[in-house]
Amino acid sequence: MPGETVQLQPTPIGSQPSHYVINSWREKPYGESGLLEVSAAHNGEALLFRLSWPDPTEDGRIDDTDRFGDGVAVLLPVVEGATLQSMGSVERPVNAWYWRADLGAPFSVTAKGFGTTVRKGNGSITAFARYQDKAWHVVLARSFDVDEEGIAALQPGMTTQAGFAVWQGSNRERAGIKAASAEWEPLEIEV
Amino acid sequence: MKRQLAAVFDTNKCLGCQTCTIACKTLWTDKEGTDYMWWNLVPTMPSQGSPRGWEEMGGGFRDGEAQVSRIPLREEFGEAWEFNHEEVFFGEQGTNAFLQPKTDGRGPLWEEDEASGEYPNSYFFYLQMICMHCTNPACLAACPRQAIYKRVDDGIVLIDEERCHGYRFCMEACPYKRIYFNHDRKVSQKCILCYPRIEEGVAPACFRQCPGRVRFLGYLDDPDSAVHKLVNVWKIALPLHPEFGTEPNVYYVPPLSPPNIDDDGVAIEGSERIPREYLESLFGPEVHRVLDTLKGEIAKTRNGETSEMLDTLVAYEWKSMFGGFTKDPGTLKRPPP
Repeated sequence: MPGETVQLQPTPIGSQPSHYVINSWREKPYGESGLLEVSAAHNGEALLFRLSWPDPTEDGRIDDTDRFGDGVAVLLPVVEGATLQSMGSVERPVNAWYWRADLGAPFSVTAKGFGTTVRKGNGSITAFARYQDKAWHVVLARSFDVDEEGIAALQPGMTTQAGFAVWQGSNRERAGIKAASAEWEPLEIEV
Repeated sequence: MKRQLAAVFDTNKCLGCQTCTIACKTLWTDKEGTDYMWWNLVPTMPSQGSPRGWEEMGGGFRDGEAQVSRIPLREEFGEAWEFNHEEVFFGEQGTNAFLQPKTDGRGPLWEEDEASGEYPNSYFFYLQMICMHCTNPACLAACPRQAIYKRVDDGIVLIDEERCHGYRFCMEACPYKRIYFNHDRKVSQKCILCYPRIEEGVAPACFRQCPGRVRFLGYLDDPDSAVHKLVNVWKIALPLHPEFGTEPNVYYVPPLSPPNIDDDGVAIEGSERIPREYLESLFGPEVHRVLDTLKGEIAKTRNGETSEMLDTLVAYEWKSMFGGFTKDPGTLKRPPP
């Protein structure tokens, strides 16, 4: 995947899995992070994503009860045919690499539908992040050789799909309140 | 079979000594990330309470619809004072240094011991607050991850800290604002009704350590418990803000108060300092029946008759307060350090 821009959309309010969340965000703007620049590459051992998106403020420290960190996630299907918009399903889970500005290290997440994300340690993911000129630039990398339940298998030569999500901490975005890609983007991992 | 532990707090007996508050703090919230938390707190009423202005923040339900609210800020929860212990005890200044707060802060209890009304008819009372362990918890419904659950055996509502991702919708949804955010562990936390003690037959720390015998505990369906009699038989214990729609399981015996004094310094017979309208705004319209019932029982005993209701409230026998949860925690085997 050479450099491309993915238009992120606010997730539909009606699919938030809690009436409180629906009622409290129904009239509030969210998920307006706009265009995410993505490029992917690998070095034979690990797959890397470089992600850049605009954010007027750097939210890397939670210094009050109502502060949330900026974040980004890359979503991959664990089983072919998993649906992006539902965050996977019981039969076809999805796996995300999740980075947040206020947390020490990135981690791996498996989901089988809304509200079911389970954090699975760091899943061999590393992250490098820089906030500059009112934008975040994050590199997420994961080694190919990970063989664990709920983790997307990745190898050079594979064709799969990827989805993306961004949370703007200054807008108190968290959980399903985020900007996300509406559809899978094709991901071809060259040999 | 579903059972529900419930509490009855007799506001008539509370001195506001906060022994309950400290019992909870020293047991559960003295670690990093929990320092500003007060899972138990006893605000003076009327007042802004803690977090400041919580009664107006929203949350809960109205006509079954989740009501919008917000996360209270650290500043609204209030920061504990820091004192100049070093200076007083080790500063070698003798009596030139005396213990006083270092910071100007308000402390966590806004308007503590500040009375309402006008002298000589000023008034206030203490309102004991823990998690209500509601039957229709707004926090449980709000969590998009179902990280909050209500135990079937005793109705205790708990946050599963392994499922919790620190989204804090529960903090917004709770109309009593009894949930806090742990900055260190990035999870939401609140009163757990000392469930590890409950499981061993020991009453929660705030109940057991209260020197005023304010706090009753018991299963609502246990006919031998004081709680059952106070809530279901005599019905003299009422929920706080029932209009929040969460069906709380902490009930209050509302406060009687001294008579008003007129301009000639004479007590006005039959009057009560705490306005009934205020108490109705807290406990609903049943409060009038309850206060009149209590006054009737007191009159009975002044006439030489006995009152099982008053005897139960007085709790001559301390252990009678705890609905069977009378085990002494000092007799439990402690796990190795």
